[in-house]
Amino acid sequence: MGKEGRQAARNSDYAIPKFKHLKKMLLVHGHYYYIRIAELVQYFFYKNVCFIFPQFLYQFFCGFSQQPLYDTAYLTLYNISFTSLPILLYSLVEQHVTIDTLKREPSLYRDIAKNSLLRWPVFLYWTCLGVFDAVIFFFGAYFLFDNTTFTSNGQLMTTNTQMMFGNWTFGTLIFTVLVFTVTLKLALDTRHWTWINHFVIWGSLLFYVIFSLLWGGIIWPFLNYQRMYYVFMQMLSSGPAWLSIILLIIISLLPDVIKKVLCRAVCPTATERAQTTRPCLTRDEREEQEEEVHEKLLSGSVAELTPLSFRRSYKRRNTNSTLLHLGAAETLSLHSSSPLPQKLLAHLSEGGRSDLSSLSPYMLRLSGAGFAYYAPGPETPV
Amino acid sequence: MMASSYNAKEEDGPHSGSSTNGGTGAAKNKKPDNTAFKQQRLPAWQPILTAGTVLPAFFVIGLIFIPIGIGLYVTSNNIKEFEIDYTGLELGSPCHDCSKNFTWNSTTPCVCALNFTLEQPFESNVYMYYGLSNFYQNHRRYVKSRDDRQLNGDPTSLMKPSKECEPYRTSAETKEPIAPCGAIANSLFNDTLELYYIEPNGTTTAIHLAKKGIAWWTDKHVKFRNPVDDKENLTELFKGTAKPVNWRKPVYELDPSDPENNGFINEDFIVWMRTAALPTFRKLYRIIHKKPSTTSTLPSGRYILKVTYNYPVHSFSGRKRMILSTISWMGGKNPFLGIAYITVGSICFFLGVVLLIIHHKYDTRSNSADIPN
Repeated sequence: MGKEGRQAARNSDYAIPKFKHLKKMLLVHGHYYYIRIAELVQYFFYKNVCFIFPQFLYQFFCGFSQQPLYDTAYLTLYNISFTSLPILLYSLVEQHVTIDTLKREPSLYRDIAKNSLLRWPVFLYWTCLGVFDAVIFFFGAYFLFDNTTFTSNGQLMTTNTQMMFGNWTFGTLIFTVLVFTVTLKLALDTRHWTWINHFVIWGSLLFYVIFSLLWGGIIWPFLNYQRMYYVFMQMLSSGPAWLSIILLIIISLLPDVIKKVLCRAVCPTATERAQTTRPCLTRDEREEQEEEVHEKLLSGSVAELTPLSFRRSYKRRNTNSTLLHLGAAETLSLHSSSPLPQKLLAHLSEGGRSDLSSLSPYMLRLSGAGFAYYAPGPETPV
Repeated sequence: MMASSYNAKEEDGPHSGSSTNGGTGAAKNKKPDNTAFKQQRLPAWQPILTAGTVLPAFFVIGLIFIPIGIGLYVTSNNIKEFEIDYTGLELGSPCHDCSKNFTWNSTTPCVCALNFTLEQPFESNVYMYYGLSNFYQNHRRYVKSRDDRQLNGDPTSLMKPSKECEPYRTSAETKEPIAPCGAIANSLFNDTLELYYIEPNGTTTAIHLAKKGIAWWTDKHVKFRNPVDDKENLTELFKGTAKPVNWRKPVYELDPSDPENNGFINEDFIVWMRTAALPTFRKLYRIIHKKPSTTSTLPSGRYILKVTYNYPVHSFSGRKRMILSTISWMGGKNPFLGIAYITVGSICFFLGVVLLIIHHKYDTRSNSADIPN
């Protein structure tokens, strides 16, 4: 790169040797970086608002004595083990639009221009969502616990059907709803589900459940309190507790889903439109596929080319050609009910390649002529 | 950006070196591996939340939640509950004298009786609760004030309770450790409630109240254990400890008739030690088991509630009450869950319809839309 070029490269954040690399760096990597970092920042604030606000609300009901809602283990591990990995892996692998689309449509960069995802309105939206979710968690559990008795069927060891729930069970119920809601919120925001995403998201939830079962399952000798002993299991053995957990998770996630769906339907951004559009095949890829089909015909495996498989393989094509196969009669699937279309006969008489895209894909066997003729499926607009 | 005088050879040199894998001599291959992970080409599923995809989910949720909500609401309405406040603050109430004249040192218990009528008979098992209001069992200093090791039967903790129990750790007069220590144990609810049924012919029958089976099985058999030693007698086991300040009897006299319910494993004690979440709470007191014959557990009619008024609540403006309730598979009387399910189900269904309209209206339009250039 030259002496001064190397010095410049050492001082810079990014250095590229050729100008052609600038396109991918800016349009793809830059765009991804911005989307990921914006989501990371907003999500972190959101999940911590959801975490702390119920504790704040609880102070109104515990005499402002700073009694925590959740056990200390939960307080410590929330940001370390239960909710850290999903967002970390999201910021490493998320691709809201494919690389090819981004390279092909540079105008998509306009959607993130001027720091649009980290402005006050977006931040306020996330914060309000966090506050809403926290209010739902807390007051949802409050009205379910208020002056009521939860049954737990206690089928594990006893036939008792009447147990009392205390403040730690109350807190654990809220915490369970919290962990599941914030993780599922991230799952709904994820556009690009690789195996890594599946692993960390479902793995985090599973880890939470397993940790809770282990933490409350044994009288741990190093602990000088045993307040969490069997709390999680007792909570899970109660039917109303399950019902309320499911209900509260769904209520919390509902507004965000509705907002996303409505915005996408009513006023989609260019990025959203790019997400729904299927990619066009390049000319080379198209010709490649045509060759493939042609070979298949010639090799005699015509029976594979049933109408259904053709519809699938021709879904994205824009082909205008049909292929004539001259050869021995093969076993073909014949729609006995369909008469030979007049158009087809007319085209046949003309001979050669012609556009038969308007006809439905039938494989016909022309008696006597020894032709095997088929027509491609209807054109799918791309 | 780059210096104007650069050597074309230098620029090409490292470049050609890196293009061949392994490089030649000095040029190190700094290109990242061409794996799917590092080049962000991992196979992925790319779902999109459109009206069309979300629609079935909304309808399904609506269709599932509404019947569940109706079931819950109907079940909750069928649960019978009866509540009677016996604090005795008002002048006319039966327990007024007891609440006014209460002192900790009074040896003769104060008894008051309240009459009430049950309009409908209570079937199946009936659960009797005592409820307290304005009692902050969830206060931080209160919740901390216990020693779980001592309650688990640890002999060292029995004699040296945890510092968290202060100031209810050692007895002021005898300097002995208090067993059980702490503020939660000290404030044990000690009213005695008895129920009598007035038969149609005038005789009063006592209703049998079962005191077993009111605490969590794991609490009674694992978490709370009496200290174990060679001595059989509980009195001997607790020798050297003092009773909590506000208790009338020591812990080994909580239920002398039943050794399985005496000491730390007394079920009323265990129920009280599970601190309630909110300042208005109820705790299970007794169970009235259903009768083997077809008669109702509590037939409708007149009843007498006899209260041995031991627990003072006027100093913090608390209130005390007794609740009788049947339960179902979903717990006590709680219409909130049913109403919430019906509401959420209806909202989801309504949103499903709205999305259907939007999907029909806007998605057909977007099929012909092109990406703007």
